[in-house]
Formats: sequence, C-alpha cells, structure tokens
Amino acid sequence: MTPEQWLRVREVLAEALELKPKDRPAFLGRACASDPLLRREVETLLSSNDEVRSSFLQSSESRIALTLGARLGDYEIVKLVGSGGMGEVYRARDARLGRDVAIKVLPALLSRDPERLRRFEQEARAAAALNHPNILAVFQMGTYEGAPYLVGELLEGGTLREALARGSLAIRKAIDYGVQTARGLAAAHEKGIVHRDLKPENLFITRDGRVKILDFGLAKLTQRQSAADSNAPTQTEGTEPGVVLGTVGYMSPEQVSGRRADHRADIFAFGAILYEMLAGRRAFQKPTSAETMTAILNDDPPAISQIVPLIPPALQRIVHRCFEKDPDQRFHSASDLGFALEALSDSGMSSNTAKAQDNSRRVIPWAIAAASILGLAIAVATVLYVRSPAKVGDRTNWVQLTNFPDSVTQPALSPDGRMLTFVRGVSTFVDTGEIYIKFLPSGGPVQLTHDNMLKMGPVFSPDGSRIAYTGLAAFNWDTWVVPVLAGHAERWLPNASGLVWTSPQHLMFSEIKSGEHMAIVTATESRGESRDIYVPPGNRGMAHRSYLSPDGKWALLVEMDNGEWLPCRVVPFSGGSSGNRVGLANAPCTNGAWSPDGKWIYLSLHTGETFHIWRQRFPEGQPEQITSGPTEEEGIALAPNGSSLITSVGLRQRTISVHDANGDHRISLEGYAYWPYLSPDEKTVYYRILKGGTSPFLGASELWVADTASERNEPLLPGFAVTGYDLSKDGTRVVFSALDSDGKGRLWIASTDRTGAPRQIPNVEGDMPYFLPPGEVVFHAIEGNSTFAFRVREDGTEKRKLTSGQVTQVVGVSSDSRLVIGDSEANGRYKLKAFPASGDPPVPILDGLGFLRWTPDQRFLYFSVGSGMNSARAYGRTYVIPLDAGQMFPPIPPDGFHSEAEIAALPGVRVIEGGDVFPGSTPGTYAFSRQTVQRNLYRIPLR
Amino acid sequence: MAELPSQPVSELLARWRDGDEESLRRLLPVVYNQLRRLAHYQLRKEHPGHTLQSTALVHEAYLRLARQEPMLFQNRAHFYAVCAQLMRQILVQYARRQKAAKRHGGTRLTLDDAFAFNKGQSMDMIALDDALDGLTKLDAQQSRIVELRFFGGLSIEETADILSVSPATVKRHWTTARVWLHKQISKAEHHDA
Repeated sequence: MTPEQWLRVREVLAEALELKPKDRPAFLGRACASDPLLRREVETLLSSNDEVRSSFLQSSESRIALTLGARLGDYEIVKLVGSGGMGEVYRARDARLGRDVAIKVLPALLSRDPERLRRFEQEARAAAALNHPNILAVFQMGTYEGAPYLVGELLEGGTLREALARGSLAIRKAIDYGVQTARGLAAAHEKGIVHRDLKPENLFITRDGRVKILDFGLAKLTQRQSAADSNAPTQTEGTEPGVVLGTVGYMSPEQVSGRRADHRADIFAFGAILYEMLAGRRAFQKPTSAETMTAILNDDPPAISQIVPLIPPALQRIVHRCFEKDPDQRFHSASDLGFALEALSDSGMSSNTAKAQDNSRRVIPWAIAAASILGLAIAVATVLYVRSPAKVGDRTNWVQLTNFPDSVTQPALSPDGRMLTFVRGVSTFVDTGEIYIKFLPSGGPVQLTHDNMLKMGPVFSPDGSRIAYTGLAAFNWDTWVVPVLAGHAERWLPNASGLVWTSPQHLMFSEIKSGEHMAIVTATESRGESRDIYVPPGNRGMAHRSYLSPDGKWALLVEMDNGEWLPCRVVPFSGGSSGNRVGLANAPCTNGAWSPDGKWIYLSLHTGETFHIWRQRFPEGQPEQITSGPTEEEGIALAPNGSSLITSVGLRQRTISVHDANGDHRISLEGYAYWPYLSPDEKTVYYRILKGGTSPFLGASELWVADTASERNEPLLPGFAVTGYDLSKDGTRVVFSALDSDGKGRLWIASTDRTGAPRQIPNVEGDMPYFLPPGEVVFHAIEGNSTFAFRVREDGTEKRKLTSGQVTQVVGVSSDSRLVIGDSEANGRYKLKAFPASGDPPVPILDGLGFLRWTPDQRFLYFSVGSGMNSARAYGRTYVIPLDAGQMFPPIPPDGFHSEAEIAALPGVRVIEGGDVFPGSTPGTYAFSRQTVQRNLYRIPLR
Repeated sequence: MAELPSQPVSELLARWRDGDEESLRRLLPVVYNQLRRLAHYQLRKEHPGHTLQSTALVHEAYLRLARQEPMLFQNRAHFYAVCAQLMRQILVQYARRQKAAKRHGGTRLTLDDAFAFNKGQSMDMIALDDALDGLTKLDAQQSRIVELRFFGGLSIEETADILSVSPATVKRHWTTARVWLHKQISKAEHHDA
C-alpha cells in the first residue's frame, strides 16, 4: 500500500466505522463504486475490527470490594478500616473464636499469576510462622473471588506515619521504636525473609507503645518471575537485578539502581525511618522521585545534629551507618543494629515510654550544658550513652590517668606496661610540647624535656631505659632520645620520625625521600640493612606513623596526602605492596595499634564530627566503634596483656567574647563559635557556630546574632548551612555563602533585620563572599583545577575573574573597597596578598597566612597573623597598627613582611593575643574568639 | 496535563539547548514525572496494580534520558514525542530480550512478565513495534498519534493539543490506526503460528 492509497482507505474506513455494521455494505458500495481494490481493503480492515477487543491499545481497571456483612470463610466483615495501594483492610468478626480480626484483601489482579500467588502464600506463611511480638501476627490466608486475603491480629493504634505527622519523636521514644523494629527485622532476617518495603506506613504503633512490622512478604508479591526460572531455588534470597521495589525515599541505593537487594536494604530503610523519627523530616526528600532517587544514590542526608543539635553522636552515627551506600559498610545484621541501639537506651527495652520521654527531655540538654566540664560530661555521658554492664566503651569503667589543666596526648606504654610516656601539648600531632613520664598506677608525672621544641610520638626502647620521639626543627624530622631516669635529650637519628622498635636492634620509621615525600622504612639502629616498606604514591604523600603486628608480618600505617589525613593502611612488612585500607572509607585515621594477639586493629578515626576509637578484626572484619560521646579520643596505647587501652580524651571549645574598657564579655553560649563581626554601633555581634564538631574548615556552620545588651542570641539565618559571610559597612545587610541541597556553594544576600527573605545571587557558585561597594560582591570559586577571586554584581550579572593567579582564600576587602585581601600558595608556602580591585598586580603583604581588618575610621589596621596548620584564626596574634591619615597600610617591605618580628617592630604597635579579632568603632573595643582544649589520658577496659 | 505547564518546560528546553546544564537538571524531574505517568499507564493496561514495576520502568527510562547528550527539543510536542518514543523503545527492547531469552533457554530477565507475550492476554510489543513502523511509512503523523496515545498515555484532547490538530482528526486517525494495526499484528501472529 502506498501512502496515497492508505489516505483513501483510511477516509472510507473512518466513515464506515461511524456507521452501524448493517449500514456499512451500502455505504461501501457507494464510496468504492469505482475502486474494488479499495473496497476489499476496507472490508478486510472492518472484519479485523470485529476482532479488535475494546481493550486493544486501551486501559482498564478493576478492584475488589467487600461489603458489610459479606463473609470470607469463618469471618464476617464488620467494616472497612482503610485502603491503599496494597488493598483494603477490613475489621471482621471471627465467629468461631469470638474475636475481632483484621482482614487485608489484596487487589485480585495483583496476583493473577497462580505461581506468584503461591509464592506470596509461601512468604506470608513464613512471615506468619515468625510469631514475633514486633511482627504483625497472621492467622490465616485464603482467596476470595481470586483475590488473596490475609487474616491477622487486629491492632489498636496508628502507623508511625501518623505519629510522624505530629512531628519528630523524643529521642528516647525513637530509640525505643528503633530497638523494637530492629528486633522484628532480626527475627525475620534470621528466617531469610526480607521486607524490602519498610517505611513509616508499614510500622504500626499499638496503643501500649509496641511496634508491629506490617506487610512482610507483600513486596515479594509484586516481584515478577519469568517462566524460565520458576523452579529456581533462589526465590527467597533476594530481589533479582533490574527490578525496583520499595518506596522512593526509603529505598536503598541498590534497590534504586535495580541491583540485587538483600536484608541490608531493610537496614538502609530502617536508617531512613530512624532518621525521620529523630529529625522530623525525611532523610531523602526532594521535590520529585527522580531527585530523591538521585539523592539516595549520591548524597548523604544532612547530619541530624544540624536539625537536632542535642542528638547523641553515637545515635547519629548509628543512623548514618545504616545509610552507607555500600551495603557492606552498613550494619551487618538487624540484630547488630538493635544491639547498638539498645546500648544507647536506658534500661533495655520497655514499651512503657512515659518515664523515658521524661528523661530524654531533661537529661540530654543537661549533658550538653555540663560538657564544659570534662569530668561531668563524662559522668553524664555515661548515663546517656552506655548502659549495658561491662561493655567496651562503657565510660563508668574508664580510669583517669592524668589530670592536667591543659592538654596531654600521644600515650605510649613501656614493654612491661608499668611506665607511661606522653606529650604535654595542645595538638595530637606535631606541636611544641614536652615529653613526660609517669609510673603506673599512681606515680606523679615527671617532665623529661625542657626545650619547647616541636615534638611527636614518644615510645619506649625495648629495654625500657630510653624514650625515643620525633623532634622537628626547620622541617627536619629527626628522632631524639631521652633517658628515662636521668640525662639530657639528644638528637639520635636524622631524617627519621614516628620511630618504633621492631626488635631490640631493629627499627621502623618514616624517612623523607625528597621534599615532603615521606616513606616508611626499616633499618637497624645503626641505619644498616635499610629498606622501604611503603612509599606513598604521590610526592606530597607522608606516611607519618607505623605499627608492627605482633607476628612481625604486617605494618599498620598512618598517612597523609597533601596535608590531609587518609584512612589507615595495612601493608606487608616485607614491603613491595601498598596493602589495603582499614577502618572506614573517607574517615581520616591518625593513630593505630595492634592487640597483643594480633587479632584486632585499633584506630583513631574521625567520623563526621570528631575522633573516636574504633577497632576491627584482622585480617577480616568490619570496624566497630568503641568510644563515643561529646569528647574526642586520639592516640592508642594497648596494655601488654590486651585488657585495656590508654587514649587521650579531649574536649575542645571556642567562645566569642567582646572586649571593651570593662574587660571581656562572653557572647556565645555553647559549641564551637568563631569568626565574629561587631556591628558599627557595637551592640550586635555576629558569629559562626558549629553545633557539633570542632573543625571550622571542615564544614558548614550556622550564622548567629547576639545583642551585647539583651539576652537575644539566636540563629540569624535558620536553615542555611553557612560557609562564609560578610556584613555591609552600615551593618544592615549580610552576604553569605551556604551549601545547597547538592552541596554546592551558593551566594545570598539578606538584611540583618530579617525583613524579607534572603535573596540568592543567581547563576553563581562559590564561597567566602564579601561586599565590594558599590553594588558588587567579591567571592572565591573554582575554575578548572584552581581557585580564584571573582567579582559579580549583586544581581548576578557581570561576573568576572578578579585575579589572574590562583587564590586559596579570600579573607576580606579593604575599608576603601579598593583592595581584596586573600592568600595564594606556591611550593607549599602561603603568602598573604592585597589584590587591587582595578585588576593591577597583587601587592605582597606577608609570608604566611593572615587577616587584615581596618577600624571604621581607618585609623588602625588590625593585622592578625595565623600560625600552625590548623590555624582557624583562633591561634596566633593580632597586631593593632596605627595608620597615618589617608594611609591604608603602614610601610610594607616591597616583597611583604617576612616575619612577625618585622610587624611587631612597627612604631606604636599594640598586640592582642588571639587571631580571630574583629575591631569595633571605638579604640580598644573588639570581638574575638578563644579556643580552649583540655585533654587527659584515660585507661579504657576492653572486656 | 495540568501538572506540566508549558511555559517553564519550554523555557528549560530552550536554556538547555543553549548549553545551560542546570536547566537539564531541572528538566529531568519533569520528564521523569511524565515518564512515570506513562509507565504507570502502560502497565495498568494488562496488569493493574503493578505500580512497582512501573517505577522500575521509569527509572530505567529516566537513566537513559539522563545519560543522553543534550538533544534538541524543538518544542513541547517534540518533548512528549521523545518521551513516548523512549517508552516505546524500552518496552520493545524488553520484549525482544525476553523473546531471545526464551529462545536461549532462560537467561534471567528484567521486567519480564510485566510484558509477557501470552497471546490474547497482553500486547505483543514487537509486533506492535513492527506494525507501527509500517504505519509510519504510510502516515507518519498517524503513527505519532498512536505513539503519543499508547506509549505516551495522552488523551485525544492532549494529543490534539500537542500536534496542533483538531480532536476530531486525532480521533479519526486513532480509530483507523487501531484497526489497521490490529490487522497487521494478527497477520504477524498468523505468520508466526
């Protein structure tokens, strides 16, 4: 047929179809009078049409409905209780046993396939056989007009979804429900039954607070099965690839991507439910299912602590461990999960939550308030986090070994376990500090060194007579020794750090190959027989610490790349292999240890907020957390008999204060606060605050505002994860960068009196924004592989690069708006520079990091000079430099200042101890932040 | 099509065409929702209640669309046409894979029985696909109407709106196409048997 022929056929056919069949022959006779071929074609089609069922290329629908008084077997329907995608639920009377039951009738067409129905029954029977208090009891099943139905216990109460409609749950209640759910799941999983569609709608809370998991086996019903494998014996073992089951938002990544899903998919869904119970909102919720699925595949939900600041970190960690994208990284079983949750709960399981609720409201805020005093924090944390007797990590069994007012770190034990050495210093890595020794159990601390040198990692020699440690001077990483009893410290081995003995005559240590490329090597004490054990792949890789396994076959390594801690690694001591990572993926690992029997590896891992001690079986095992709570634990010394470990338990705080003629006034209330701004009238202080954790550079903060006079102290921009901000000179507007739901930095402008919603600067991605009057904003953003300073109009137009060279940070704009202050890096060295807004070449200011602020009258320059690798402006000094009229700077050497001494030598300079200083309008008034760190050594029993 | 106002979609399409990746990101959810509607519709035809399979189906469609190079949607009609074509491709591909698997004695398949070939019970996607190709040769627009109606799940009115023709024309083309397609498919079945 040609298109032309079809055109004619179609016209005649269309008209014929409009007619009643009996009228068609006459019509065709007229229409096709001169074309018998046309007539034949249309007639064929018309006869074909008689066979066209009405459903051809059309849709249809059908549904079973039971009416009042209808009978299903022994049951009489009393009323319809609810309906949904999985069918209707009726209340029915069991006449035989004189009780009321629930009957769920599934849509008939859901199981047209007898094979599928059989499998559903098999699943449902298995679920029924579970007979667990946290799983809905199923009494019977049958078929009604082709529709399968289930008879189960009738429950009074509501679904968790209904409970969540009223908001988040008290932490105790969430844990209670979580434990019950985990128990039910564990029972099912043990029988090989996976739910696959766990969600708040499928968790029923009875009136007496008992959780019942509903709809076990139903997800399976919708799973198809091809004729080819109908006899395959693997039916109960998992969802075959390619089929997405479950509800978007609670689906695991493997379900979303159609991969094989096993019981660990339930654990993921469980995590999403627990998150929702605690946070009051879904872990993965985007405007569309597609975005939600994408988020499940790629994103981590916002930390609960951002929503519920008082969440116990251990609980938060449990939730987030359920969310691991890789099922292997999740809890291995629901019973493990239940166990972890139970450890958080007060008194094991009690369905009666009245008392528990009460506790959750009172105890938890109290714990945070008390956290400023370490001892108290630990005592409260004990009540909160750990209950099961004599479990690893139970703080009631921790023994405090040192009681310094400041900070001691990096413990190591003598081979006989009777002497303890450590560094007294702020940092857990390299820091100025002194080596101490203490005889256990009750000797006082004895200071062995007195040189104010940078030190790290003291260890005892095998005979216990000497302590070797790393001493740093001018980037020379050398090993020094000091006798335990009497004598002076002296340099022993050049270019050897993180040293340990592997035998009385043999050593393992870190050696710089070139630049800062640091490898792990082994050699004799006289540096003979030297060979490499591990050389980091990148030339900025530094393997800083190493620990030999008791059998001498493996080295556990701590390494850094480009200044960032990496997960730890185990390599063969024989060398030649980069071995395997241990611990958690992406979790920086700074210290390690072996149990004396070589079966466990202990690690200090930074997960989310701070450092805690973890351990895992060697060679095969998953990391498990040993310590938790508001403190951070770093450094591990195992007792020679393996019964305990000694670690440094620390608490860090940072507070904002305002200094004026009357002294210091504390502004911030809790947490880690930094980066203050003082309004021009000096009545308002703005600052950033990390609600959990102590790493200002690691993430997003909240921007808070406080009145110096009133009690007002609150978030300025609730809901924004602020990564940087600046105020306009008149204090009426704030420009800030915040992470959007995809983790991208967006720039916003808001008014500080909060009239009107914040306005996003469109089409711009970046951070560290500052006002650049008139009408522009300067910010920091990535382009290609490097970062630069950019400027853009406040409406998002005319974005252009401000600097031709790379800029690592933008730290401010000069008071005359002509200079952008930032730093750039070359060959590992940072240099503070002023970049003219005109685009002229930058002016070097300092060899090193720093911040410049001008008083509003431009009479003083506040020049903060940072120090150390973690200088979040808390450290260092601020030089207040008087300026000549009309000058922006004091006389600066042509290539910038080279040292603080040059700055300090300027005429009229005053010094403020502290780096995070913001000047007020009046002389002598400024806002600042101050960090306090307290660390002491504790012994933690391991069994 | 109330949930899909034409203006934003057209705007997004235009911006995407101009190289704005962001608009693709915003467009895909819209496409996804449309696809979901289509998939749900498709599966409801012979297997009511298979919403979960339809999610799987859509997810696959979504991933395919997301993977594609920015294609040029000229207008809304083109956009819907692409959705419908995509759906057709996927269904037919599954059907072909299923057929191949049956021939080779049972490789595991995805989404198999949702599109089973049981004669008289559900649509033979391969035969329909072939028949539609035949119809395209006779009248491309008529074939597109079927695609939009059957694979795109659009109503007569929606299809008319998209193609800028009268509903009466769509209805006429739809009715005659059904008859013609049915005849073609029956013929194919006859040949197979």
